[in-house]
Amino acid sequence: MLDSPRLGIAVRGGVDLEDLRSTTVTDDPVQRRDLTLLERARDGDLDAFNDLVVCYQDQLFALIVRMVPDRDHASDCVQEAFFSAYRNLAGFRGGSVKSWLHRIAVNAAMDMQRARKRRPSQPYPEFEDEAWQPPAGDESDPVRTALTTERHRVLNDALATITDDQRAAIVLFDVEGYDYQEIADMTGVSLGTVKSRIHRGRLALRDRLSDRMELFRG
Amino acid sequence: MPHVSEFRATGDHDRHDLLLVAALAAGDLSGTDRDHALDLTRSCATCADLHDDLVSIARATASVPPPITTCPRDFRLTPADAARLRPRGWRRLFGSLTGAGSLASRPLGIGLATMGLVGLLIGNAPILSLGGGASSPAGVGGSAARPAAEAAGGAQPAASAGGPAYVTVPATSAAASMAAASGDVYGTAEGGASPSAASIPRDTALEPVPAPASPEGVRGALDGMTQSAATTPRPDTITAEPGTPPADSSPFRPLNLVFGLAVILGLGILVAARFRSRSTV
Repeated sequence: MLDSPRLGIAVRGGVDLEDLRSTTVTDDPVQRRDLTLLERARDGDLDAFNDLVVCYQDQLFALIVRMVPDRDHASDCVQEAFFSAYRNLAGFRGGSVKSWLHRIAVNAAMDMQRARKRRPSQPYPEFEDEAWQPPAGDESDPVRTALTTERHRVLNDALATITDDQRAAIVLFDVEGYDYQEIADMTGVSLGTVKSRIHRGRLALRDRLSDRMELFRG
Repeated sequence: MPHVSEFRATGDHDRHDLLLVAALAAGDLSGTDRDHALDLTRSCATCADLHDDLVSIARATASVPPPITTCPRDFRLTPADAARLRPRGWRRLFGSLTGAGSLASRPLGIGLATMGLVGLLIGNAPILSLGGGASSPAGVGGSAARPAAEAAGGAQPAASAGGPAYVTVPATSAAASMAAASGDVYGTAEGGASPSAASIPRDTALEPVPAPASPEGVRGALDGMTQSAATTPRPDTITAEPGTPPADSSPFRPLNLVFGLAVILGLGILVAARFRSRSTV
């Protein structure tokens, strides 16, 4: 991504990074690219914002689809997150654009889950996408690959059955790598609540995976 | 940790604190909690298995791919989306006031709400405190009293001879109907010639009316008023006597409206700032 033409276009955009509200101008080229695009989007450049969308839509969707198992709802969440980000461009306080977008998307997902609880619906059964396979290296063992695939499948299934709050906390912590404080800030709960959700969520996962734990041991 | 256990490693796994084991597996324990958790995993094989399983699950979760890897749609915004989403008019102004980047939004909201509340309290304090004022002389307001006073007839000269005494009459229809229901138009019949004003709400314009000084005069006046109240519909509005300073008792005074709007605007800014700070970093 760093050597993409889009990064070059963004950095050549002529925006003085020192003028950005973020006082932490970083040497990270991705962060510089994001800040440049964001600043241009603030000035009304829709293409710059859409460049940000293209850069992050896959990441956001991969995050949200873990939190919202229904893929259509996840799509709606991501779309709403980008709408909200565009609406609140002026509210960006600096820092990481990626974290900012993740936070907006997580909030959109949690809002949607709350709305679904208030208005429960029976969606049509989905056809699960089984086409994805983990990337296989040349040295990979077919048996190990099959076990890994099965482990991921049952884990995704189990994740879909725990509570929304626990799933969000586990995904943000284990998958996205945020620390407790960042998750607490994102989800608007206390640090202890985040820890409790993660611990209880893992216990719930273990409970649901009790019959398949041999996939995870060793 | 919120879940400090009070367990005893008795070997009975059902009584063990599983959250403590989960916290140990996450590496979140220190001090005595950690020692207790380690004791558990050493003394209880089931707890030890649980610990190992939780570590394995956490490791597997970190490497699990998303169930769907490709975006099902393109989330780029169209110019129509952008035009729809860009705030305009008063929303833009409100957004600039309450923007997450605006440091003045919270103080502004708090200030407006406080100013409005204080203004409302101060502006309406005299009206609120009038209900219990028994010491100050209050005039009689309300045309409901006028026919009754006229019906009192000969009591008026006696009243004028006996000196000015003041009675108060509720001018609101609710108060009048309450008094009528109790058979006492003024609600102060036992008060004699100089009824106490403390029992009567004085939330309306009042005008002085001389009261009958003798018991007969009072009785006649009350009879007349009762008949008048029974036959004459009570007006809901009060016409002040000429020369009486008009007292504005309406809750919709201009200042009240201004202060009320300040409260609403301040609270609106606070709520909007909270929502915006929640959706943006």
